[in-house]
Amino acid sequence: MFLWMLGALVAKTVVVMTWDWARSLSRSEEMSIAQREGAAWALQMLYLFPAFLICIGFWWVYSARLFEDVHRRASALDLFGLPASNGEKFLARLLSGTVFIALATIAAAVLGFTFDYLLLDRLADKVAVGDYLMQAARELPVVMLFTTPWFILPGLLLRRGGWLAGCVLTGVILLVANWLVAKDMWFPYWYYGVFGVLFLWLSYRVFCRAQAAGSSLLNV
Amino acid sequence: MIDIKNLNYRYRGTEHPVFDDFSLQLAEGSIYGLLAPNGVGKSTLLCLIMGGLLPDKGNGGGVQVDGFDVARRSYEVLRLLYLLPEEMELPPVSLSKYVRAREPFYQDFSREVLADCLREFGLPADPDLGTLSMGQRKKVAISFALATRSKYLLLDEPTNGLDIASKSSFRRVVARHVGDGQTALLSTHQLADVDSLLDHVVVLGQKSEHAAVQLLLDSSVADIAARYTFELRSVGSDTDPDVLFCERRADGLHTLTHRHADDGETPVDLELIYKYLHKQ
Repeated sequence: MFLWMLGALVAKTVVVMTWDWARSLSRSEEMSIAQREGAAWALQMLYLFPAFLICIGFWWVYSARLFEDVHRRASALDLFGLPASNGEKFLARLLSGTVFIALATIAAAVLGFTFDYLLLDRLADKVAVGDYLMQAARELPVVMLFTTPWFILPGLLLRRGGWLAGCVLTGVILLVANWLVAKDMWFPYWYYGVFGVLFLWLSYRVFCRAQAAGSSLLNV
Repeated sequence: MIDIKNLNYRYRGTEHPVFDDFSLQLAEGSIYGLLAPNGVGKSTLLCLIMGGLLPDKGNGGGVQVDGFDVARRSYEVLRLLYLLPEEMELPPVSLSKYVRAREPFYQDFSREVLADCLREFGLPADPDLGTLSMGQRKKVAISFALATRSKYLLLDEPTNGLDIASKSSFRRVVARHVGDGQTALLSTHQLADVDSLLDHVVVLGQKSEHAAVQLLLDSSVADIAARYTFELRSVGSDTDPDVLFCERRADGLHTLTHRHADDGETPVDLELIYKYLHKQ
């Protein structure tokens, strides 16, 4: 994961530096503030937003594969046979697989965004860029926290394509939310949290019923 | 005691049940041999006993170990059991690191037993698990299984992948380290590897290819010796009406007959009785 992000940062750096050099060759006068803000917005749509998506995308695939060993007979027997309760095993995997990795992902993302900031500072207004960065840094952990169970459940339940099912599930949840908002209907602020708690509980129930061998699609 | 009562199990997506109203009891303090042809359901039964597979619900049947329902996979039942599957995954770390991670889960874990087994198998004290061959990994896994000192040891085809000398080592470590309070269930289709160890024999079979598993024999070796006579006779004795089953081998005709009261006991030939049961 870190190598991917490092590679993405290096690629972005090369592209931004090249664009800057190309613009400096064609520029005959100083850029206006509007042009700078426009350039900042364009760069963030091209680089920051995809970086945000890469972090989230990685996190969703990782969450769907958190209990991947349950899908293989030998590793499933090893896990189920360990002398500990279902709750202890589930919680240990959830915490060790999410909290630490989440912190590492956020740290990597902040480093990446900071590096972007240093590059974008050369072309655009500092304040505008800072706002975008802070918003992204705030939203990333919240999105990761709420959407993790939306991917753990299909990853546990399905032997194949858990992350894809998670994407479909996420799409449905977001579509319903947007529809409720668009129709000015009642939309509680805890809407996303309820799905998170429900799917986490369902994931635990699936884990308790998971078997070392099952059908070709379902793990229970 | 392992109490299997009215067990029903069918693999998801298949039509035919593997177990249909199957019952079996395994008492404490014996080394059981679980014998059956390939594909009948030995590994499936071991997984059901250990909780890796969950029985079908319906008639209230299931597996209990010392009174605990295995399907709940609670700590109380899992601490009593250890399954050594036929194919296992070992992480690419040193054995000492693996033991440090796993030892706290097994209250009676014995490093002395582990060291003795590794010595018997001719392995170093702390091998790198990622560099071992399949046979060597099997030996490490057997050593670890015995070192857990679990009350019920379930070994699935433990001698598969072992060379001839290692099979002798396996018999020695099992005889030495499976204590009086422990029960071992050895599933195998290679009888010659383990027959000298067994106190009790369970033979499974099927009436036809897709039929559910049947219990053909559940008897101690002592009872088998009391009920049957195993003899080596000259060729031509197979026409004796008392002969239940006979097999021609390199050294002569091995016959199986019912033992009469005044006949002395003969050494048990498990292979012969296994073939007799499956022929029926």
